[in-house]
Amino acid sequence: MSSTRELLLRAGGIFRKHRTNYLQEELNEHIAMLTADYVRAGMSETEARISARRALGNLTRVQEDYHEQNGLPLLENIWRDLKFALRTLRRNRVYSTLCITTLAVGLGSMITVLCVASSLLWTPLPYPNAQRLVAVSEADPHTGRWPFSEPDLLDLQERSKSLAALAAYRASALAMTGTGEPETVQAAAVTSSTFALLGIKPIAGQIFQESQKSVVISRDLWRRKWQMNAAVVGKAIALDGEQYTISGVADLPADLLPGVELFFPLSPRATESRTAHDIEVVGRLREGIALSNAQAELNAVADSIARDNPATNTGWKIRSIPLFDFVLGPRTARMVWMIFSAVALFWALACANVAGLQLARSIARRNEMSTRLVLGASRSRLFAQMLTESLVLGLCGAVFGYLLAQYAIEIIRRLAAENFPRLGSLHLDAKTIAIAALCMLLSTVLFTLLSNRAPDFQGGRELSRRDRGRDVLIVVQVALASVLFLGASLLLHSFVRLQAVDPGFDPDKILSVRVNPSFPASDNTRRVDFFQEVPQRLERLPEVAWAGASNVAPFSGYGTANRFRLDGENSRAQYRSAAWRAVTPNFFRSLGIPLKRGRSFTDADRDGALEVVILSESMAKQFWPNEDPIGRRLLWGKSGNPKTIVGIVGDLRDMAVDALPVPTMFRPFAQLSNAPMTLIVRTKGDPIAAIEDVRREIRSVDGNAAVEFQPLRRAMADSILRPRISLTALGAFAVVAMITAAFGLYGLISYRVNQRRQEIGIRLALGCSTSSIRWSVQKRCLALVTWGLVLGLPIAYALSTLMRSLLYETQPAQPAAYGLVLIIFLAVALAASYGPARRASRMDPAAAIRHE
Amino acid sequence: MQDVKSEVPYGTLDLMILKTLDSMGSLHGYGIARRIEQVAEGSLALNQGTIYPALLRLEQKGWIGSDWGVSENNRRARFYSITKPGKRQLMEEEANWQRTVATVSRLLQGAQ
Repeated sequence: MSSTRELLLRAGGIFRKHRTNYLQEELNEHIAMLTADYVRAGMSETEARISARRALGNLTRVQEDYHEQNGLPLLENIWRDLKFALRTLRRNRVYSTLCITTLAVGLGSMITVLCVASSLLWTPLPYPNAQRLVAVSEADPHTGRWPFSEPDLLDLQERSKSLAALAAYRASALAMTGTGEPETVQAAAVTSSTFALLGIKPIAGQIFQESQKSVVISRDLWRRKWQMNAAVVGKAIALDGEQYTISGVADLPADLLPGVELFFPLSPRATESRTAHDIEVVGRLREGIALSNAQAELNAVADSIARDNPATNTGWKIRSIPLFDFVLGPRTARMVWMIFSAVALFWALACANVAGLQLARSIARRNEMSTRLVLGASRSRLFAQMLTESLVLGLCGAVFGYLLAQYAIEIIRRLAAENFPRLGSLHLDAKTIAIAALCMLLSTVLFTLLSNRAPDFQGGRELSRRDRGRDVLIVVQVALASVLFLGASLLLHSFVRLQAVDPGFDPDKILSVRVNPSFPASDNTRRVDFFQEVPQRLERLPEVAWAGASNVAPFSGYGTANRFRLDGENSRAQYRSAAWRAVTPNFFRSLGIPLKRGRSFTDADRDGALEVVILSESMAKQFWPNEDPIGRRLLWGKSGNPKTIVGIVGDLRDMAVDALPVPTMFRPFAQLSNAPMTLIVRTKGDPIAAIEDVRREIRSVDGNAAVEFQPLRRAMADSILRPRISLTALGAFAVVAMITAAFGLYGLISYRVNQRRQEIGIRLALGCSTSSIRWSVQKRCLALVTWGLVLGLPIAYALSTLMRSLLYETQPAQPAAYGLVLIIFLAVALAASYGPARRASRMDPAAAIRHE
Repeated sequence: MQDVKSEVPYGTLDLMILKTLDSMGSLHGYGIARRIEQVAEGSLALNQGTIYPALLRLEQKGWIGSDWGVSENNRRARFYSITKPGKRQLMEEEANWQRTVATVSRLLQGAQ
C-alpha cells in the first residue's frame, strides 16, 4: 500500500516543484544552525561556515537526489521528450508534413479497406444459423448453373435428408397499381418457409401462407407509398392486374434479394414443366451434416430424379455452395481481395518512405547526437527520445488517417449501398481500428529501430552505411510502387478493352424502357396488341427514330435460354441449348443490329401464321457450319415444335459487357408473348429528352402501365461496375504510391547533391561541363529506379497471374503494361532528379568549395 | 579527521532516522543529524545533506510526517515526527537488523 502511495506522490511531485524550494530553505537553516554551533565551540565565523558546508557533503548531489526522489524521472523524461518532439516537429515542417501525410493516407486506406473487407468478407449473413445455409441450384452438363424447376424442387424437398429446411423464391418485376402512380416493383414469389429460414419477422401485420392471395411489403415500400401508416395491413393492391391483400410489413433480406420490396406467395406445383428453371433455392443443412456429405446426398437425389424423368433431367446435377459465397459472388470477393492487397503494399511503401525520411533526419542530426553522447547522455535516453518523436508522428498520422477513413467510409456507404447492399451498414468498428492502430505502433517502433540507431563516433563509415540504408529503402519503395503500377496498368488495359467492346449495337442514343402493362399476364391478345401499338405510336414521335421491344432488358444481367434440336434429330439425349429473345419487328432496327441475310420479323408474324425464328450469326455458324440455314427448321424446346428460320442477324451482347456474344434465337413476340417487356427506343437526339413524350404515349395506350426508364449507356456502365471500382482503387493507390516514391527519390538525390557540393565545385572549377555534372546526378537516380524495377517487376508478374480472373482480354504478361510501367518510372526518375541536377550544375564553384 | 570513521551502511540511514524520531519526538533535519552524530560519538562519517532525500522518501512512504515550526533561534524550520505506520515499520526493521547483526556476528565468531 505504501508503495502505491509513494508512486502517486512521486508522480504528483513532477508538477509540485515547491517541495524543492523547501529543501533550499531547510539546507540554509541547517547550515546556519551548524555554523552557530561551531562558533559556539570556538571557531571563527568563516571557518565555521566552511566546516558546516563540508559536513553537509555535496549539496548539488543532495539536490539532485532530492529532486529525483520528489518526482518520477522516467515520467518526467517522457514528458520532456514529448514537448521536445512536438517542438522539433513543428520546426521541421516539411519533414513532419510529409511523414504525417504518408502515414495518414496509408493508415486511412488501411482502416477503410479493413472495414469494407470485414463487412463484406468477414461478417456472417444476418440470418439465423447463417453458417449452415447453402444456395442450392441445378446444373446441366452443357451450360452450367441453373435455378430449379418447380417439380425438381418438390422432388428435392421430398428426397433430401441432409437439408433440414428449404426456402424457394423467384424474383420478378411486377406492375403495381391501385396505389397512386403505377410503378414497377421488384418483387419475389417466395414459399412461406422462406420467412422462418431467413428469420424474417413482421414489423406490422403478419406473414402469409402459401394458399393466400397476400403480400408482405418492405419497410422502404411502406414508407414510400404509405408513409408507414399501420392501417396498410389489409389494404388491396393489384400486381400485374391481379388483386392481392397486404398482410404485413417486414424487413426483407436485402443481401439475398437486393432491391426486392415485395414478397408474394409461391406454391410450387408438380404439374409445371421440368424445363422451366426459374426458382432459386436456399437450404439449411441439418445439424451435424457437413457440406460435402450433403453434396454427396444431393448427387444421389439428382440421379434419382434423372432416373424418373430421363427425358428432361438426364445429366442434370444438383449443386450446393455456402449461401455466403453465393451472396458475395466470386467477382466481388476477388475485387475486395485485390484492393486489400493493394492497400497492404501501399502501407509497406508508406512505412519505407517514413523510415527513409527518418533516416535522412537522423543523418542530419548526427552532430547533435554525438555531441550529446559525448556530454554523457545515455544511448537509451537518446533512443527514447527518437522513439517519442516517431510515436508522435505515428499518432498524428493515425488521427488524420482515422478522420480520412471516416470520410471515405461515409462516401463508400453512400455510393455502394445500391450495388453492394451489405455495405449499407458499413461503419468503423473497434476491432478494425485496433488492428490498424497495432499496425501503426509496430511499424513506428520498427522504423525507429531501423533508422535511429545511436550514432557512433566514427562519422565517415557510419555515414556511408546509413546512406546505403536510404538507397535500400528507396529501391524498396520503387519496387512496391511498380508492383501496384503494373497491376493498375493491367486493369487499365483490360478496362480499355471492356469499354471498347462492340456490343453489336450503338448504345448512345437508346433509351431502354421497362414496361409492365396493368392487365393480367394471361391476357395474351391484349399484350400482343399493346406491344404492337406502343412502338408504332412512339415511332410517330418526331424525336424517335425506331422503337422495338425485347423480353430481356439489355445489360440487366438477366437472360433467357432454351433447348432446341436440329430438324431431323430425334434422339432424346441429344439436345442443344441457346439464348432466346422474344422481340417485336423493329427491335433489330432500334438497336442497330444488322440483318445479314433473309428477312426481319413483320407484323404478319402472329399467332396462327408460320412459326418463325431468326438466328444470330454465331448461332448460324455454330449449328449450320457448312450450309445456309434459311428455310431450315429447328425444333423448339421440350415440345419440339418446328420453327422455320427466316433470317440471320449480327451478334449482340446484351447480358454483360464482358460476356462474349452467345448463340441466340429470336422469336416474334406475337408468337411467344412474355412479360414484362423492355422497349428499346432509338432517339434522334439525347435519349433523356424523349422520356416525357415516351411516357405519355405509353400511358395513352394503357393508363396504368408501369414504366421505368434507363439510358442504355448507363446500363452498360453499370454492368462494368466492378472492373471500374477495381481500376479506380488500384489506379489511385498506384499513383499515390508513385508520387510518394518520387518524393522519396527527390529528397535522397537533393541530399546527395548537397553532400557532393565540394566535389562538384572542384569539378566545375576544373572545367567539367554542366551537362556531365547533371548527368552524373541523374544517373544515380536512374540506377536506383532501375534496381527498384528489377526487384519489383518479377514480383508484379507473379502477383498479376493471380489477378488473371479480373482481366478481360488481357494477359498478365501484356508487354504494353510493362512498357507503360517502364516509361513512367524512368520519367519519374528523370523528373525527380531534374531539380537537384540543375542545382548542381549551376553551383558557384568558389562558394561550393568553401562550403563546410 | 584522523579518527577511523565508517561510512553509513547502505539502507541504515532510514532506520537511524526513524529510531531518532521515535525516541526524540519532533525534530528538524539539523536536529536529527546532530542526534545521530552524538549517538555515534564521532565514529560515523555522515554526509548530513543525505538526510533530506531520505526524509522525503520516508514521508512519501507515510512513515513520518512533517510540518513547519520555529527553531531554537526563532527561525522557520521544518519539523519531522514519526507516524503510527512508521513505528510499526521501525519495530520490524529493528528486529530485522538485530537478526542480521546476530547472524553476521555468529558467522564471524565461527570463522575465527
